[in-house]
Order: sequence, then structure tokens, then C-alpha cells
Amino acid sequence: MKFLSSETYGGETYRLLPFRFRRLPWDLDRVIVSSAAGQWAFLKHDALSRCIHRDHPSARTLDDLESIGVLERTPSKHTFAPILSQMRTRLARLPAGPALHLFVVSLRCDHSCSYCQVSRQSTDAQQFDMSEITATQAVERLFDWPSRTLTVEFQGGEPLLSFSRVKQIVEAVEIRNLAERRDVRFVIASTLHHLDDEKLEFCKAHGVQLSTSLDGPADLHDLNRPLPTRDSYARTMEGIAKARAALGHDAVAALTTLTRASLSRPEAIIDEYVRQGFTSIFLRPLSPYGFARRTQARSSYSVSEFLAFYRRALKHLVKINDQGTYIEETYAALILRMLLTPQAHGYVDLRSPTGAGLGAIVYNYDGKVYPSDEARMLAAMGDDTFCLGTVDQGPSEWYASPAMRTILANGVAESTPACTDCAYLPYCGSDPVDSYARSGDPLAHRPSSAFCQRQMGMFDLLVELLDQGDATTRRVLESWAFRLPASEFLPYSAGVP
Amino acid sequence: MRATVKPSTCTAEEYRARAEQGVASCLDIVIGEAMSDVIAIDFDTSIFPMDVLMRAAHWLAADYYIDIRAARSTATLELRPKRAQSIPKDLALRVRNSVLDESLRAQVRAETRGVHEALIRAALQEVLAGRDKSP
Repeated sequence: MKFLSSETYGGETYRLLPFRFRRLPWDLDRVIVSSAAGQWAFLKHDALSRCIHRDHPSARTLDDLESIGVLERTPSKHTFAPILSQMRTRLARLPAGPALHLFVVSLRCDHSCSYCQVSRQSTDAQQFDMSEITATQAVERLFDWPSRTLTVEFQGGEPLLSFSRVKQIVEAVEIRNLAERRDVRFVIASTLHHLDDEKLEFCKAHGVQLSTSLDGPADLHDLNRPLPTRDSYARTMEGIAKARAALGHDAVAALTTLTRASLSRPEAIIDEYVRQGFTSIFLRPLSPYGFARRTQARSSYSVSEFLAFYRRALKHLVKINDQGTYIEETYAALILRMLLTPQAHGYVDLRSPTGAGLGAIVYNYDGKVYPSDEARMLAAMGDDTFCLGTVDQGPSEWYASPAMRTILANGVAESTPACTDCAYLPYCGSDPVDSYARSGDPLAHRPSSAFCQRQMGMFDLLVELLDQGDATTRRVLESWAFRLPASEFLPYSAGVP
Repeated sequence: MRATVKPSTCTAEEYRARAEQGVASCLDIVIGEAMSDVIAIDFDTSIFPMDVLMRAAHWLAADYYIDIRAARSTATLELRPKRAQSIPKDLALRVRNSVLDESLRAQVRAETRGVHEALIRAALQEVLAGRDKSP
């Protein structure tokens, strides 16, 4: 972005509005400026400084800063409309309550993944299954929340090992919803290894979608997700094929978890997703829970190692998209949508106020209730700090719990030291449960935290690519923001195949 | 506005002598062999108040252990790397930039606090009004 420097704006008064800025790590003489509404621009640091000090800023600088809501020259209610709208959007989710409801129907699983975050149990340990009465109570609680849209996600362990409970819950929700008339969506998070015709028929009849784990090509997937039979990848492929044949191609989504072994192979992981016909890939770093903590030395890595992997992965994704195959990185697309469009997102891990308990609720197999999957993972490790209560209570009691008070006191980025001044605040979130899991402090020192370092690193990388990337790179990133093939972005198009 | 920071060098002995006195008269980058992992920078607190320095230190504390010493109209930021690494050559510049930026932020904060609070109040009122109207 270029600015006129010779033309100064003599004599005109203006008022600054709330904004934040950050020096660009790749060009310390420039900054990214973001308004309270989340609109942003690149600017020379000197130009910003002159603007703040009323030291003859150029007319062009004032025009640009006024256009993104950083200052106003003529007091007007219209100036505040987009700012209020953005603030309202962030807050509007609160009165509706959680829309994502996780039912942990069993901790049983036949895998022995080194990074398992939930401390799975053996396949015959039925004491780790959700009981019928707990399931009934959890469904009652689901409709205690006011949200008009409800996503019911079955988690484990392996939910398909307790499919009778899944069926009970789906049918109970549907019966109750005849009167409630909410917009309900069902998802099962599964390895898909235990899918059979009966289960698929049920999924088809009730519109249940499937989400699975695919960690890359066969050798990497089997290394990360071992089975005694050493055929995890083959069985996942078989499950994906069966599910797509019965439910349709788009009824199956996949996620990848990155171990140390994954870090050197971003291209192979992405190519596997392309080969399997997925149009998105979520490159998720490891979380410090469950078995992942116990095997940390073997499987974990630093934030900077992850960011180096991520940079390389984005480069490969740009190349593939440029060759005509649309595939987006889920997290990057989420951030780009916030940067480049007025769209809000529903992703609970990147919200302020936090999504823990406010965007999601977990009904555990044993009847305990948690504000997030991470909180129940902590509980599985013996730390019940974030238990909100039990399914025989209700949202009012859960919200009055010490756990929820801790979350609310520490889960607002706008009032968190360092976050308050961060240029990326309008696009970022707060995760006090993760902070506690990593440091023992739900607030902690943000600039030192893995959450902040990873977020800053990813924001910086995407903003750097928007600023410094070639035309192809910018065109692909824009296509992710608007969920359209890169070839439709003509401004940057140069000979799209 | 310009910081009064002027990078210079001194020996470890000179640095220790100054540190024992509790104050430094100008900015110093310590390059002495025994103290090569320390950098100390002085700021004029009439230009950069303690609140500004503390905020800059808060960010820098991700990578450095930080001591802050104040004396008369000067405050000294002393940084030691948390991890085994040598001090980056441009660290003095980065610290100076960080303090300058916090100074700008303080000015923006002071000027926009009223508007910011009014906006948050209005947004909350609108959201709560919308909730009350919903079925």
C-alpha cells in the first residue's frame, strides 16, 4: 500500500477512535493498524506517529485511517455503526448460549495413539460407557439452552463402539425437537473402522454427518494411530469410502493431528488429502492433554517448529490451488475470512469472550459436565478444576459454579494484559482452559504462552503473505476467504490453468 | 519525539560498577565477556513514564528476564535472554521501538478511552435488548 507523503493536511481537526497497531516483523518501519471494528490497513510507522501527534499527517493518511474507522474528521453516528456492529457480533452469541454440545458416549477405543488426548480405555471396559439415564438427562439439558441452532457431536473414545447410546440420543433429540423446532445437526467423530450397513442406514435416515481423523499417507497415519493389526490407514480408507457411498461425498470431513513425525512431511500430508478428494485440511498442532502429555518428549514440538511446518504447508497448498484444485487450510481460511470479509465465525476455540462454556458444553460419559473438550481431557488426567457440575443439575447451576466463574474472569481477551493492545485482537480469542493446562494459570503471561505465540505467528504469516506474497499467493488466500476457486479471483489471476 | 536511547558499549566491570550504584546515566549495551548475555537501556522517565516502560517490559518478558530500576528521572531496563542464546544485534533497536510504540498506545488510550467505553456499553445494551425481544 502506498501513501502520498508530500501532501499535508493543514489545519483540519479530527478525533482518534479506538485502534491498535503492530510493527510488521518483516518491515519494522511499517505497521498494521486495526480498528475496533476489525478493519485494517498497512501504514508507515512515521505516518501513524504523525497522525497521533497531529504533526502534519498527509491527507491520504487521514483518508485511509478514516475509511477503516481509526479516526473521524466530521463527528457522525455513521462512523460508529460498523464498530458497534462488530462489537455486537462478538457479543451476540452470548445470550443464545452454547450451540455446540458434545456427548461423550464412551471412552472405549481400539487404537493406542501416542497423542491421544482423552486417556482412552480398552474396548471391553464398558464401565466407561455413558448410561441410558445419563443420556436421557443430557438430552433434557440440551433443550434447557436457548440457542435456536444446536450441533450434537458424539465424541469418544470411539462412539461407534457404543452405537446403541448414539441411537438413543439421536432419537430422543428428534422426538423432543418435534415441539422445540430447533435447527439440530448431528455429527459423529469416529475412526469409521466400526461402520457397518446398519449404522450407515441409521446415519442416512437421521442426517448424521461423520468426522474422522486422517493423519497423512499410510505410513504416517499408521505410525501416529497404531492398531495391533497395523492397518489403521486401510480401515480408515474403507470407512471413508463406505460412508461416502451411503451418505454422499460431503457427509465425511477429516482432521489431521500433527506429531513430530508429521513436521517434515507437509507436502505428503496435503497430497493425501487431495488424493482422497477433500477440499479442506485442518493442520492441528498437538494439545497438552492425556497421553499426549505423557509422550511429550517423543511426539511434541515447539511453536516455532510448528510455524515453520505451517509456512511450508501453505506454500504447497497455494501451489495445488494454483494448479486448479481447491483445497483450503481450515484455520487459515477462518482467519482470512475475518481479515477480508465481514463474516463472523462459529469456531469456539477462537472467541472472545471464550467459547468454553459459552459456545460449547460437554456431557461426559459419567454424567459430569464440562465447558470444553479440553476441560474433560484435563479431568481424565485427574484435574477436575473445570467441572461445571452434573447432568442432573442445569445451566443456571453450571454457570454459578466456581469453574465457570474462573473461566469468565479469565476468558475475555479485551481485558487481558497484552491482548488489550494487540492489533490482532479483533480476530483472536481467549482460552483460559488451555492456558491453565499449560501453565497452571488460566490467565498467565500471554506473550509467553504457546497459544499467543502460535496465534501471533499464524496472523503474522498470513498478513505477511497478503503484504509480500506474489499475485498467485494472494489470489489463493482471497479465494479461501470467499470459499471460491482461485480462478474466480481475476484481479490477481495471471494465466490460471 | 525521539527516545534518548543511545547505544554504546562498556566493559563488564564498568557495567557492574554502574549497576552497583543503582543507576546508569546513558544507554549501554554490555559486550564484556563475562556479561555478554545482558543488555541495559536507560530511559528518561519524563518522556517515557514507568507505565509505558512496564507495558513494553510485559511483552519483552516472553523472551527475556527483565529488571527495572528507577532513579530520579531515569529508569533502566535490564534484559537477560531466557534461553541459551546470544543477544540479537538489533535488540536495543527493538526495545526502543517497543517503548516508543507503548508511548503511542498510551496516548491513543488516553484520547479514546471515553469513546471506547461508550461503544462497549452501547454494544452490550443492544445485544441485551435483542435478547429480551427474542421469542
